[in-house]
Amino acid sequence: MKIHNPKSLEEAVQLKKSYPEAVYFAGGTYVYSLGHDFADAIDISRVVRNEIYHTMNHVHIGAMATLEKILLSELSPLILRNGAKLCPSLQQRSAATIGGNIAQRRDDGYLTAAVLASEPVIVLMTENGRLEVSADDYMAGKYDGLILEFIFRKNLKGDVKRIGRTSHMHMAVSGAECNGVYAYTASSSGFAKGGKDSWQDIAFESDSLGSADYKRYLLSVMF
Amino acid sequence: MEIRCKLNGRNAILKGREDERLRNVLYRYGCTSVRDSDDAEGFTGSDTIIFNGSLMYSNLIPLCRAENAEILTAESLMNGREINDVQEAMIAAGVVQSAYNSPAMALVLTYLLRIKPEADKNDVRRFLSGMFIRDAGYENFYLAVKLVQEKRKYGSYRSEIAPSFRPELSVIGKPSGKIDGKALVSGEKLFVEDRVTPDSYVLHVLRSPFAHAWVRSIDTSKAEALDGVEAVYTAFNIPDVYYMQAGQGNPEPSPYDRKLINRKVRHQGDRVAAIVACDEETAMKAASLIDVVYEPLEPVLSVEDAMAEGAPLVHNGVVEYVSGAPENLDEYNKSADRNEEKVIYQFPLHGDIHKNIAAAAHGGIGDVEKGFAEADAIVDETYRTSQPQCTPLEPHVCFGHIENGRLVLNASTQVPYHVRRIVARVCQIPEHKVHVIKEKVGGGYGSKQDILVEDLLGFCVWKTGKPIYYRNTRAEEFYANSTRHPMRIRVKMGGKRDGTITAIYMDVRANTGPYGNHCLTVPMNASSKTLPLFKVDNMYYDLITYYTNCPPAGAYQGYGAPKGYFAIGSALGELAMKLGIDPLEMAKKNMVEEGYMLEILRGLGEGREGAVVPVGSCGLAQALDKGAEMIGWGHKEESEDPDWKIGKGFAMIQQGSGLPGLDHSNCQVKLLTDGTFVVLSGGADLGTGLDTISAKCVSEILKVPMENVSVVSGDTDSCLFDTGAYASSGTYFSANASLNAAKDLKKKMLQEAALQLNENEEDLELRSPGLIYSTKTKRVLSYYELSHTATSGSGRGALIGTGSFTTPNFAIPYGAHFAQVAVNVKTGEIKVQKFYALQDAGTPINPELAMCQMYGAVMKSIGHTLYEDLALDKDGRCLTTTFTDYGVPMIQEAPEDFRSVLIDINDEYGPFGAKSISEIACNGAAPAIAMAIADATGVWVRSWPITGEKILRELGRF
Ligand SMILES: Cc1cc2nc3c(=O)[nH]c(=O)nc-3n(C[C@H](O)[C@H](O)[C@H](O)COP(=O)(O)OP(=O)(O)OC[C@H]3O[C@@H](n4cnc5c(N)ncnc54)[C@H](O)[C@@H]3O)c2cc1C
Ligand code: FES
Repeated sequence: MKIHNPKSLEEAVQLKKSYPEAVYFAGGTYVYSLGHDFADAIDISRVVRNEIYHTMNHVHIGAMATLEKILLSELSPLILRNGAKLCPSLQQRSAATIGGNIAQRRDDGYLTAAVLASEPVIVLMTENGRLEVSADDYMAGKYDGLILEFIFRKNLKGDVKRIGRTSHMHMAVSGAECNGVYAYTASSSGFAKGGKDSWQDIAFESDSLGSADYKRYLLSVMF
Repeated sequence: MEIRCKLNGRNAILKGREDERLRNVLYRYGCTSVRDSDDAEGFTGSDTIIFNGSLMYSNLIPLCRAENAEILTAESLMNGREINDVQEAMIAAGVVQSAYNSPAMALVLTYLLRIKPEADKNDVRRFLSGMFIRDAGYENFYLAVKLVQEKRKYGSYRSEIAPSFRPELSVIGKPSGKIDGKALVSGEKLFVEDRVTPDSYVLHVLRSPFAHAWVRSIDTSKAEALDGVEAVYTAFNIPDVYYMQAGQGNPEPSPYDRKLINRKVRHQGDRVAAIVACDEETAMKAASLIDVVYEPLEPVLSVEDAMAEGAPLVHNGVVEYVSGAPENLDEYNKSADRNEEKVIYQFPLHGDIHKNIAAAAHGGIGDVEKGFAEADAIVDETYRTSQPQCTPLEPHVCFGHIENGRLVLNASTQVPYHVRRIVARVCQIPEHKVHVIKEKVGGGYGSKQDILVEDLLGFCVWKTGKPIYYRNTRAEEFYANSTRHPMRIRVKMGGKRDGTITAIYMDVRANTGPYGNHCLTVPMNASSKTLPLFKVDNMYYDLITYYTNCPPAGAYQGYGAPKGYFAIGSALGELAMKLGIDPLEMAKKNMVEEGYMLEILRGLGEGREGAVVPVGSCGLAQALDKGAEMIGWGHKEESEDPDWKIGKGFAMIQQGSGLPGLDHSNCQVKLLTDGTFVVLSGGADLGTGLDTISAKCVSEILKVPMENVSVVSGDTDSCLFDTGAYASSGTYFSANASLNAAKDLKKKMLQEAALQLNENEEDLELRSPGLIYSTKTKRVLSYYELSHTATSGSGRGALIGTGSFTTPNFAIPYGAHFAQVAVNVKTGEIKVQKFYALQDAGTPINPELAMCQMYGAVMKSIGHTLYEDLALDKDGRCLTTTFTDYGVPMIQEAPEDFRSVLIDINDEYGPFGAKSISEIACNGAAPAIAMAIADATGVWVRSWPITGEKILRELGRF
């Protein structure tokens, strides 16, 4: 793997343009772990921020903030702290970033449901400059780019749940509720957001957690 | 590239590729405590370091990110050769066992206590959340932290580490720490990988993508032409030698049904070619250049598939018998495919490969039909178990080289002498040409009883003359290693209203996978370790083991017993429920007690008639009573949340202590010239403390402190033969040999002292610390003086004690396990709230290690019961090749209230009254949890893993 070290956000994005197959190297818990073999990686640790801070009505979380930092920070929205807690290993949490987690649009993601339900704005750096997009649009794949930060509304209320066979297995279903908005994920199947019954939009598939019927049932009784 | 960093407080320059994993760089730099157990999956934590103040997996950090970093590895814990207080406490608490990741654990806990000296259980759980422990369980890490806190506060430990036994003895039965604990916890170079020389080649195995196929042709020319490739072996250029890979006593009760590489591949991952090359990269490139033409065949993927009319045959070669061939063998072989590998039975195992049957057995006592006719109620249910993997933190690994014309193997094995015999066989050389050195074993749990890598590695070294290293990837561990035999067990049990069991019938159908390793012995244990627990007049079992194209099965702690117990324990619970009586009362009414004649054993010999013996020492009743009291048996717990239902269950259990009549152990104890001792034990310590037991035997008999004793074990050149560490034989067999050697040396020392002192032997005795004392003349001779004179120019020679141990007597450990489980009847979530393991291990020689063995074994079986699942697709390809997909239990899965209790019983035959401890501890969780779930929900789940989905389906939730 060739690791590129951009000195600016613009350079990072340019590198991605030059090497379309390259991945951004944030915490590396996905790109640098077993089974992944990328020819080029762009190390964004020096150019993307990891701060968590408050402005008047919002909470800003840098994309390089690790799940452990989010979990420990009193400034983080509670729903996101609870989402970070779903990552069961301290070592994983100490490396894995929110940007890396959301960028993967995982249907077994620790933060997927929490982020969808809490509806932050996602700030991206693209070839055409900075762009602010909704989490919905980002997760739907309408936009790509280097995630710089997440901007949440303050005082979000809500909860996250995940059911897997063990604390560490990928295969799981999860759900989040935030100020009346619901989001759900089901491994090997997908994710959905909307009302309490929005889980119905997921095309359930069986995997080692259990059958499609079981997963559908679990989400139907989650809240 | 070169990067500068601060490593363990000192400036360091680390060199490597910019994208190289920091773990590999650190290991090369000399930080050998930083190990890898998962090929950089980021799961097990053996590679944990403190990186800029955070706990990190060093495998997931590229070297370039370490520029200017502050890095701490476990090497930072040492002060010269002194370990720190956390490491000391870990040894004291008994958690340093196979110890592959003990240094990393010590680093994590040291760091926790540095940032939070008053850390509580929740903090420990948080810090260990990314560490996988398979050997000793998680429980005593809490104790280790507590001990450190106490010592820092009060200057000494205040908590009881473990109970002590036998006050009349000085070291036996007392928690003393392992003699190799310090070396292990400090990260010394003790494992096979630490022996690999820089000039070493690697062995890479090209494996079959098909579960069942013919290798019609194979072209290795391009691979052989590649620079750096030393040799390529295939089915077409290996010797025509049949053998099998189970490390069992010779002649083995497993058929010789394979060669080093077979022409017909019988599971995904079966060997197709062996490539010896200068490095892994070259070997992988070479593998990609090998052209193989396969002819795929329909795979057989379950017992049902194997039994089906017209099923494809996993083996259809010529069958031979070394002894006891049936008369119609020529006729039988007429339909054999002569291109296939033969199947050679050492003696009849009642196999019939034309029906995919590798082995069969049956037997019993009384008249089961009569028994069922007398019953007021009968249960007749079928229980299924899955294919759990041992998952040792150190995968299968071997390093070999040629020295002085001999093949030297550094092995991580439970059976060094079987490795020597089998490697000599496949290399077609005599045993004296092979030297096996058992290194520290980073977890075996049965899978290293099988010679799964040493055979091929040894052959390649012998043929090429090169030093060669081989290590299974974690994925290979899952699909090309040995696992528990999946089983389908039908139990029919009849009982009367008063709780008397009138008859038990067990129909065991086992799946041995592609080869017949342990095809008789492991499945036999499903009956042979369960039925003898019952005082029932009518009992019968049928056993058939089938060949399939699933990943290979083999030995796993407990052999077939955990599966047999799941079936028979559940059936007992179901019968009691049907009869409306308390299952505990029913168990007590039908359990054996001391002196009861075990007629059932006659039909349970493994391939021969078994010896009938009475039940010896037996703590079963105490275990059941005490466990029932601890868990509040009979008292229904209610949860505040109506969705959570709570239930209780138990299992009564037993195992064996080695194989009387088959196992054999030897030991020598040498008196050195300064009066200290070296023990040369054939026994293979797997981290469970066998070496410590040997040292304790010498210390106790020869009345010296344990510090005066060193132990060398499992080295086939220096030590005498031992059948190996399996079937719970270590304490009973190997330690009895150590005890006998110590007694022999004592006798010789007294004889020699009598000559030196010119006194009668009867007037002399050994006294602590290391003196010979004359009760008549009050004269004293130190061991130093004794040895010095004996080995002087006019001496009579060095003093060496030799002991061997064989026995017809059984030393059966008994126990009872109790579980309290909460089940969410809305979501199917299952929590093991309480687990109490109570066991009669005779005299627990190392009580703290024994308790951790129990915690570890119970965690393994909680894993088998609730989580672990080796899944195959419809073509027999393994879908679960990582820890995350497979589902081992981590600290989050450990019971909230978890206790090991040792029942105080003295055995007649065990060394100082000891019996075995760990295998039996795998037997209780499945039946106890299944019963607790049934108690909570009314649902009996009869297959592993017991999942929420299975419960909710039975409850009709969806
Ligand atoms: C054994 C194991 C099991 C795991 N199981 C799960 C699981 O079940 N669920 C789960 O959610 N996570 C799981 N993870 C963690 C997983 O890797 C996370 O999703 C993590 O948050 C990824 O973050 P990272 O910083 O490590 O990403 P990286 O590995 O650095 O990058 C991951 C991906 O995100 C992209 N990316 C990273 N940062 C940005 C950015 N700022 N902008 C745009 N793209 C970016 C990269 O291009 C790459 O494709 C597991 C990790 C391990 C080691
Ligand atoms: S990534 Fe942790 S031991 Fe391999």
